[in-house]
Amino acid sequence: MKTFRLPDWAKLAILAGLLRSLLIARENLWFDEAFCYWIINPGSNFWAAIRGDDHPPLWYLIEAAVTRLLGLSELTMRLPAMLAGVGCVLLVWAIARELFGRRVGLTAGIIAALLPASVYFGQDARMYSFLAFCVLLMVYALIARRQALYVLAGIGAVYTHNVGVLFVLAIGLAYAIERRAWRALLPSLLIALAWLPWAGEALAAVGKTRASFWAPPLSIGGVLYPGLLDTMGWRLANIVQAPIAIILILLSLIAGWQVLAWRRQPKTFTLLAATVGGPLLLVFFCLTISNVWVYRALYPAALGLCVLWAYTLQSLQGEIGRNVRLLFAVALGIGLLGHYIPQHPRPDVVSWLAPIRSGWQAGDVIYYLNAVDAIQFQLYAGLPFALRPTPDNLLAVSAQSREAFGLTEIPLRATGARRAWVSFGSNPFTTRAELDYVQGLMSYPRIVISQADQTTLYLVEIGGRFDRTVTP
Amino acid sequence: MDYPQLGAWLADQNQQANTLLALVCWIALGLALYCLIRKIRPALADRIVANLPVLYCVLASVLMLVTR
Repeated sequence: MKTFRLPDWAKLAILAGLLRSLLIARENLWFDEAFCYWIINPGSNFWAAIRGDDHPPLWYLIEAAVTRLLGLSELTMRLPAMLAGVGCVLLVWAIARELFGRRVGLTAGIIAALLPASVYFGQDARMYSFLAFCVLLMVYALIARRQALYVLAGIGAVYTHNVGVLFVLAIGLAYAIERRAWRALLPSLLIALAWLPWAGEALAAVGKTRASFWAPPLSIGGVLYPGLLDTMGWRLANIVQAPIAIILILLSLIAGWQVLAWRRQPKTFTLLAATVGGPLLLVFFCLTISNVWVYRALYPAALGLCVLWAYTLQSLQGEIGRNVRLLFAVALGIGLLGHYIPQHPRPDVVSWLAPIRSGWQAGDVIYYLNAVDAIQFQLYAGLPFALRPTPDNLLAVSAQSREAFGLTEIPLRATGARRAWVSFGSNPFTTRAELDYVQGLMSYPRIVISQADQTTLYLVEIGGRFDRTVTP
Repeated sequence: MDYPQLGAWLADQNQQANTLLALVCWIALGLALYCLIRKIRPALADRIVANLPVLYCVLASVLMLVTR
């Protein structure tokens, strides 16, 4: 009797789909996801919000379309990233299989499916999973000699994230070198042509980023760091980070050594361009033009690394091969466990709001000290609120974005509220002005409702008799 | 604009990046040493490979103690 066997791509799609849908809506939206919510929220001015942000519009258009169709929730907002994540796994499999055969293809697909950062990005309502999908599709299209598909994927990449331009540049050049013909640059020039309408906005975004951004100065270690974060993620317990890093470094160094031999295999050039060329171009950009070292945007390179790792794991023979495979499997397992049981989860906004909901009285207001808190908490609060007038700061929530989101900026006394719920969370980007403001708040009658980590929730009396019915 | 806590955060980020760079350098050195041993003492190289998981566990334990 003939037994039915699932093809490799179906097995990988099921594995990737299951891992990415598992607990996908468990955590509340964190700041970046909430920012996306405010952009696509029907109450916001969509195009003004896009212009206030640093990113191109494609991802937000996808999110807006999906949430208009299926409703707004954590699940629907993360669904496009999940689907793109499954697509990424299939593309990693297809690229590795085209270049190195079935065994390497399957290994690369399994690694990409299990990779903790890949699962994370597949459950994150941000554009990185889709950016990786577009970049990998570009690589696959060129390997399969389908130039129209390459142009389409390239346009997708440059309209998803500004770093997509660097990936197009790297992959386009690699393809021209592979084909040894200038004509091979033509498809990339078409992508550049399609990008032109957005080029002005992208350059303005660089200027904005240069003026206000949180990226630390670039160092050699800093350049290597995304190799760890974009593969194992940043939710791992601190104590296991270094032991896992050892395994990844060991495997990557061996893979790097083996890749030197790929210079005689021109078909691998586009993959190498996505894995190494894109990040190197970003390093060059940071050193020469503006320090915008955005490690999340290098996630496509991490998926390219999966192919290199798979090649190495399959080519190491004998006992060393067995042992390296064992160590890598342990690292992946611990990493995946760390993703689902994170030491650094997204903030639990609903719990933070619980004391406000239980103690809420008519005439109260939630008063946010900065736009970041307002963006993250207000979408879950749904209660009257106001935002302290703030100038643009390092976290780059521009005045244009605040206006597009309808975040009303008024001084505390001008709210007309009797009591204000004020949350103050201290972080590296807290300004002295904000610290001084909190100090000033201490002159009002107040009680401390809750204190967790570095966040304190105050209930402040603005006028009239202070109501002490709320117990801390 | 003045960010009183930013300096400490940047220093911490820098230290993490430097730790990673140091790890890369030490492992590269270890690999180079292994290649040398494989050339001059193949039997010892085989024993190292055979005991790789044990060596890893020792190294990982030390690192976990240091970075705790």
